[in-house]
Amino acid sequence: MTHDSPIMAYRDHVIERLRSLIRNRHRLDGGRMDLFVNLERVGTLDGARSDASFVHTCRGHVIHHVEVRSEEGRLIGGLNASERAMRMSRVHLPGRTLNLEVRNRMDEGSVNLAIHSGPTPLSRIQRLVKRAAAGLKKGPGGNPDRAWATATAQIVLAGAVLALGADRYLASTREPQPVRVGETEMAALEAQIDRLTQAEAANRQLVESQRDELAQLRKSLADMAAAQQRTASEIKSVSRAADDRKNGGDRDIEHVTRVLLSKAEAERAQFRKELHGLVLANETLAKQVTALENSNVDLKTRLKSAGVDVSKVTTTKGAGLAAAEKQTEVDMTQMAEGRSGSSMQPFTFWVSFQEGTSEENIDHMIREVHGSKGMVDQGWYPVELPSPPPDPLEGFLESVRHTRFVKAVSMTHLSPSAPNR
Amino acid sequence: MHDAVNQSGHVGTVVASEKEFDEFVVEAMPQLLDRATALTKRFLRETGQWAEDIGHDKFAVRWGYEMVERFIICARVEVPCRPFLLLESFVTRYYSQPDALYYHKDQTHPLGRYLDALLSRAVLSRDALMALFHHLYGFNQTSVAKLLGINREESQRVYKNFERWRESGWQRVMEDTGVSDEDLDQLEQDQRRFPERVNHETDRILRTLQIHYRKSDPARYPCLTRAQWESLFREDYGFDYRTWHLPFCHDCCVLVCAIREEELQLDDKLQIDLHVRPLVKGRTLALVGTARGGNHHHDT
Repeated sequence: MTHDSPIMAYRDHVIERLRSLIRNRHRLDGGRMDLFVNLERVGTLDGARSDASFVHTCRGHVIHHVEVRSEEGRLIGGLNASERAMRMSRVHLPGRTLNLEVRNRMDEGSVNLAIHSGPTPLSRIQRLVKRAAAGLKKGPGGNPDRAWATATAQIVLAGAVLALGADRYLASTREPQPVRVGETEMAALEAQIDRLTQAEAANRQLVESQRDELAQLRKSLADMAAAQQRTASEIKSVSRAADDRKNGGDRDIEHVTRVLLSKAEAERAQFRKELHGLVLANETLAKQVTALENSNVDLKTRLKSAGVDVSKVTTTKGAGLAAAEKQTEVDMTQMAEGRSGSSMQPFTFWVSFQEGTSEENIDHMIREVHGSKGMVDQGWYPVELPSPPPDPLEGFLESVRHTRFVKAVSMTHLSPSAPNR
Repeated sequence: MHDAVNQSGHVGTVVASEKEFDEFVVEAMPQLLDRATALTKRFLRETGQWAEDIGHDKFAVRWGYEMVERFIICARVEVPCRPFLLLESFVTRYYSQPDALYYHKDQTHPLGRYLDALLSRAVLSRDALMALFHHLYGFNQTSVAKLLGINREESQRVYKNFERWRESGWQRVMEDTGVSDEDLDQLEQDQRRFPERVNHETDRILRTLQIHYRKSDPARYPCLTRAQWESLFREDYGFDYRTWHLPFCHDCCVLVCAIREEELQLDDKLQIDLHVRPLVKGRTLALVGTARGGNHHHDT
């Protein structure tokens, strides 16, 4: 690319700036420090003061990022906050320590910026002089030589410490260097570090215990939610089963009713059919009876007229008799034809056999009455005769009923519970 | 970019202590910067704010620099860690926040980049904040003290380290934000040849930038009415508010100049008058006035 050169120069400059930031990160320009929370300035702290602190609380939102910048805008310290936890950062500056602490909760966060300064050279000298003065006060009560020796030694020690302190003070004003501490200060620092370590361990333990409690709470909440879900599903299943049972009972009743109704309907249709057959047979019989009566009347009339004619005309006796006989024959033929026409209709009746009757015996019985077997229906065999049986019909049926293996005989197909015996 | 090959060797590196962290960061600084720059470019591309030109490239490097700067300080508490992976999560988390990145196309032009550099630093540095009065209006220390209504002691306190800004701070800000000497020369040349056009353009860009950067101090963000400003100066309170708000709000600055025209003795209404370079040392004036409220300020 054509613009690689200026970009690379800028990149090199930026890299050098970042490296110098690492080198000078312990340096503090001026005393003022600005605290930025989520890139917004929330307060200022006078870094020249010892043991100063600043607390800021965000309501309604958590803290994501915290920065501490020097007066000229240089980044001194900072940290990225956790979602819902405490996080600490410690920045060591010349002669002081910067503690940054962020706590985030559900919908708020707080940040605490505190400066803890170490003992200054002047304060150390003051402390030593006080000790020396205390030693001198004890002098009159004891050995004077020993007291003078002690006082002299302490004064010499104080002078040495003063010189050392002045040297260090001048050195610290010339260029910022890490503070060097003596053995006693080192011991005090170590003790303080130990205390801090213990406090940190206690805090950590507290945090862990809270975390455990939180985990247990979450677990119990999850269990409760699962139990609620189970209860809800059981209630659903129970109500569904009750509905099913109710619907199932209704269905059974409906089914039985429907079966009974259909059976009753079928029986009614069968009755209607048989009634229709009986009506037709009755009409046929009535016609035959009427015809027979007419022919009978006619015959009586002819017989009467024939008796009158016999006395009048002897010669025509033979012809009249022959004609009468012929007419009688014709009528008889007609009657026979009419009777044979009605007797040509097939006759069906129903037979129920005793249990265990073999098909051979059934067929044999049906052959004996010259009938043919139909399809069995509920234990009733339809037997069809090509022509009605000779009179009387009741006698014919009675003879069939008394046949071996026959349980019942019926003119109509009825249910076994109510056979027409 | 150029160190992509080397970067792959650093990705899985684990640092176990702060000392190791410092050593690693110094060694792998180019790769860290390139990675942050690449992530910034990707963010700009995905949000439709990218163009292939030097302005956008510089913008990406600048934001990569800001990311790495924060990473160097803030990632220290995460040790032990894998710095490269931590940087990626750091940058991604930053860009996933609402309104994480302030981008405007004017920031890729020399004038926009220059103004952005001044205002972004003014958010962090009081020296840069006070310098805005000079760069935008040509005010010196005396005029600023009169405008803000502060006495000599407060003026000295405010301008205590201003020398630092003049000597190195301004130059460093320009370098850090990618405003080159050529850009500055060009700006000065344009300012001499077409002052009205440059000032008009500055006024236009400034309004957008001021609103954005003023958000960095919510307590001092809102503007006041004329009556409130008059009350503030009459009763002499809200010093920190005036010191912060006025450099970041051109309209309020015009209003306050009108209120305090007797002290400032301006011929006309306050207008933008861009001064590219900082005030030369010999022209700085000390303030003699002692009373607050701007009633008795005198130049020496």
